[in-house]
This record gives sequence, C-alpha cells and structure tokens, in this order.
Amino acid sequence: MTLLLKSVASLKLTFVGLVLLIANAFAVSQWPGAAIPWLVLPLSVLALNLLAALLVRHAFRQQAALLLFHVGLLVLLMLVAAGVLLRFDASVEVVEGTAFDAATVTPRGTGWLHSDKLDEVQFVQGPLEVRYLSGLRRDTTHSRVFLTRPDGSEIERDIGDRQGFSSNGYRFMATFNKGYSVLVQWRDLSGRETIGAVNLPSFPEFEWKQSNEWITPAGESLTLELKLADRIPEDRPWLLRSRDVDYEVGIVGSGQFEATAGPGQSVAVAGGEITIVDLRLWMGYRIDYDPLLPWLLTAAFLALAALGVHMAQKFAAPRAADSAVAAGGEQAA
Amino acid sequence: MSMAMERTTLVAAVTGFAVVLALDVLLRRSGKPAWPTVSGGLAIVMALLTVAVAGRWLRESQGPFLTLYDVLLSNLFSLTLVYLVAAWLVPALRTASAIVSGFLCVLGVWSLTVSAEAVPLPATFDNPWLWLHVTAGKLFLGLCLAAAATATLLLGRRASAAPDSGEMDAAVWLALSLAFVCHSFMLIAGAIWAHSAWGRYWAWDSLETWTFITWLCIALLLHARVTFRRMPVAYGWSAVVAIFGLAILTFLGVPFLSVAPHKGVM
Repeated sequence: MTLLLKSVASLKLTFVGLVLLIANAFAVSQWPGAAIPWLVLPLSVLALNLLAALLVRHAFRQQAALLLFHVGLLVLLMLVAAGVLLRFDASVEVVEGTAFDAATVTPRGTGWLHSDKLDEVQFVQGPLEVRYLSGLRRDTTHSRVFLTRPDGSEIERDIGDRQGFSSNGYRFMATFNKGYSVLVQWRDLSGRETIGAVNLPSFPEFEWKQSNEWITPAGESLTLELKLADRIPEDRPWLLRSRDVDYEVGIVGSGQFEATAGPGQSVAVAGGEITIVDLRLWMGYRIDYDPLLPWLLTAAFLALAALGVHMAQKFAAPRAADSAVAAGGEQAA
Repeated sequence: MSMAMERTTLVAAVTGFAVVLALDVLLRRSGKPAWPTVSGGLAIVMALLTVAVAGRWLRESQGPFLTLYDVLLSNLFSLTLVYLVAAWLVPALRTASAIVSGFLCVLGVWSLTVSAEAVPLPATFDNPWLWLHVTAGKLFLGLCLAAAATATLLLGRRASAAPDSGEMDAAVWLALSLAFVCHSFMLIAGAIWAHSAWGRYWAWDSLETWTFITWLCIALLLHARVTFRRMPVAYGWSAVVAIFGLAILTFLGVPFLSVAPHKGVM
C-alpha cells in the first residue's frame, strides 16, 4: 500500500500530469466548447498525485508554506468541481414596471446538483436609463429594481455596469443588452382584455430593425415595428430611457394588413382589437449562481500568500530549501 | 499633449533604447563598467516613456489598456521600470542589459508601426481589480524579461563558463519564481474583475486559456527543476527563454488576433 502511495506521489507523475494538463488546455483553446471533459483526466491525476504526496512525503510536509500552497490548489480544484455541479447560468429580459418571472429565464448552463430556487426570487423592474457620450459611446447604466426580501420587506437598488444584486444566492448582473418593449392591450370579440409586452431587439445595437412578431390570443401573427420620430444624435450625449419618446407602432398582419398606431390608439385586427398602451424599456440580466465563490476566493488568496512565503523562504535560504526538496524528490522517486 | 508630441516622445525613447544598446556593447567590449551608463540611459528613456504614457492618459482620459498600441506603450514603460528595479536589487541581472535594451528597442519600433488611435474604454473596465490585474501582469512580464535575458546570455556563454554564471543562474530562477507569484495574482485579480464585469470568473476565452497555459508551463519548469536535478542547466535556461516567448505571444498576440470577449463587452 505504502509502495503504491509512493508511486502515486512521484514527482515524475506530477510532471506527466502537468504535461497532460498543458496539452489538454491547448486542446481547449482549439475546441473551447469541450473545456471540462478535456481537463478532468489530468486534473484527477494531479489531485491524486498531490493527495498521495501529502500522505507519504515527509520533506514536503516540513515546508509549511509549500504544503499550504499545494493544499490550497487542491481545495481550489475541489471547489471549482463542486461549483460546476452546483452552478446555474442564465439570462433574462425584464420590462420596466413588471415583476421578474422565473418562467421567462433562458438557462445557459445548469449543474447536475443545482437545486432550482429561482421562482422564489421576487423583484420589480423600475425605471431604466443608459447614458451615452457623443459618438454613441455607452457611459453609465442605471437600472432601478425593487427587491422583495425573504421577510417580505422591499428594498430599492440601483444596478449598474459593475453593481449587480443578489437574491436567494442568485446574482443578477446588468448586461449591455437592453431595448424597447411595446406594451399592448388585447381585447377579444367578447370584450375580454389582456395586457402583454412585446420586446424588440437590443437598442441601439439593432436600431435598424426594431420589429418583432407577436401572436395574438386569437392566434393571429402580427409584426409590430417601432417607428421612432427622432434618430439617435451621434454628435452629442444622449440618454436612453422610455419617458418622453415620440413614437408610433406599425402593425403588419396577414393578407397585406397594415396599420399604424400611436400611444393610446387602437387597431382592429382579426379576432379582436390591439391598443398601444405604452413604450417601456427591457433590461437584459445575466444570472449566475455559485454558492462556493467566497470560499474559492479565500482558497485562492491563501494559496497565493503561501506561495509568496515559500518563495521568500526559498530565496532567503536557497541552499537549505533546495536540499530539503531534493531529499523529498529522492524519497518520492 | 498632442498626438504628434506623443509620437515624437516615443521616437525619442526608441532611439534612446538603441543608443543605450550601442553604448552597452561598446563599453563591455572595451572592458569598462557598463551599468552606470546603461542604467542612467534607461532611466532617461523611462522618463520619456512616462511623459508619453501620462500625456496620452490625460488626453484620452483613460488608461492604456485596450489597443495594441496602448499595450505596447505601457509595456515599454513597465518593462523598463521593472528591469531597472530588479537589476538594482539583484546585480547579477545587470549583465543582460544589452539583451533587454535590444528587446525593448524592437518592441518600441513595433509600437511605432501600429495605429495610435484610441478606442473608448467600455464601462465594465472601470474597476479597481483591473488595475491590480494589469499591474500584476506587467510585473510578471518585466520579471520574465529579466529572467529570459539573463538566461539567453548564459546560453551564449555556456562554452566559456564565466565565473559569475552561478549568480546569474540563481538570479534567473529568482526572477522566474517571483514572476510566477505575480502571474498567480494576475489570474486571481483577473478572475475577480471578470466576475464583476461579465458575470463569470473564467470562460476559457483565448487569452484566459493561453494565460493559464503560460502559468502551467512555469509550474512545469519549476517542478522539472526539482524532479530532474541532473538535467543540463542549459535545458532550464532554454525553457525560461521559451516561456518568455510564450508570454509575449499570449499578452501581445492572442488579445489582438482573437475576437474573444476579453477585448471588452461594448
């Protein structure tokens, strides 16, 4: 058993593991989609090698800083692996004045062990403003959200490019993705009314195609196109917001049906009537969940500090450290 | 400072590197002490580069982080500064000053051939962790340059086996080890910045992957030095030079060849 452990703890195996890891990291650079499978084997080899070294290499254990650095790496590896299993990564668009709805979230990655608590997150999207400098250079983003805490109390937060918010462990970060949303009211032939929002493509990135398809509750496919009265001024600062915007909405349906409606105006279409209620903005958020992040950061800084101390000790007394490591290397071999 | 003034200052700095290189070679050939002249010359060049970087910074109201020109200009400044400080603290590194000046001269000529037009910094770049990330990266590259230049000189001298080779060898490994610490901190600070800017701490984009490969290569070399103790010293020196080459490709090549999101989410 000890012989097996000593073989696994060999520095030569560390060398092989690192070469494998470099080769696989290179493979990741060529085929980025396959990152995790490529790295599991070499990382597992290195983790086993290090665990065995911790058990059998006495000289290794005598160098506390070097030991702590390697233990830190091992802990980092385990935390990253656990984080991959627990993580949740998604995006969502939330319209001003509406509540976050977990059903509208688009997942991008869900860990096998992730326990979904996203439907417990409650917030209402408040007013949104994005400042642009002249030349259409994006400056600051201010997205106000009204967050409901677990005890039922409400808190207002101003979310920007660097300031997200967390709820139930889910971190919401504002993205560069945002745009207009046309709030429409649908009245069917029996007089029943429903209100919905049609999100248009990201603005101003897709200023040239501000249209989207909407299927009415009667099953009619309509294309809503936003027609802004003013173009974006590129020679001076500009503020993207939903207030004080002069607009109309073009409505195109089947059978060459075409109409234009301003705010508050209605248009009769097949199966009912559509009224343009308001123009709002939608904000795109990135959602991520990784409960181990604080531990990951702590382990990373501990490992770094240990590495720094080890190097300081090594170069303060190079001969002593070298002979100790050499003795360890010979024992392992 | 106008763009024309900035370019003139940069031309003067690049010329300064060439003059320092020529003086270095001449003084060493004549057997006179080169370091006082070389360090003084490099300090003057660094003063010129400080003026160029500061002038650009004030004019554009943003740090030199984004374009290839920004990165080359700021690296000329930081590499010179780090080398001067490292060589002041570790005299064995002074012997490679001609190689360092030559390399910086080439880098300077390269910076004169690329577009100096500024690109607006994305809002997500306005983060203190970016500063720490970049500072650690520049320390890493500067220490790596000192190690690689000294290793190159040792490789050239191998046959003659100069008496100061032992000190120079120790200086190479000291500089590389400190570079490894700086690289590790750069990775951590970069991950924190990325998490704040883009909502993820690691995404295997081209620059991240190649930076990780560079870190692994240094770890491999430091391990190999302990594992294969009878390995010819020249192998180790060659590997140090190769790692510096990889680092240059990673920091000055990958970000400008790929369309990775590391360039900034606009």
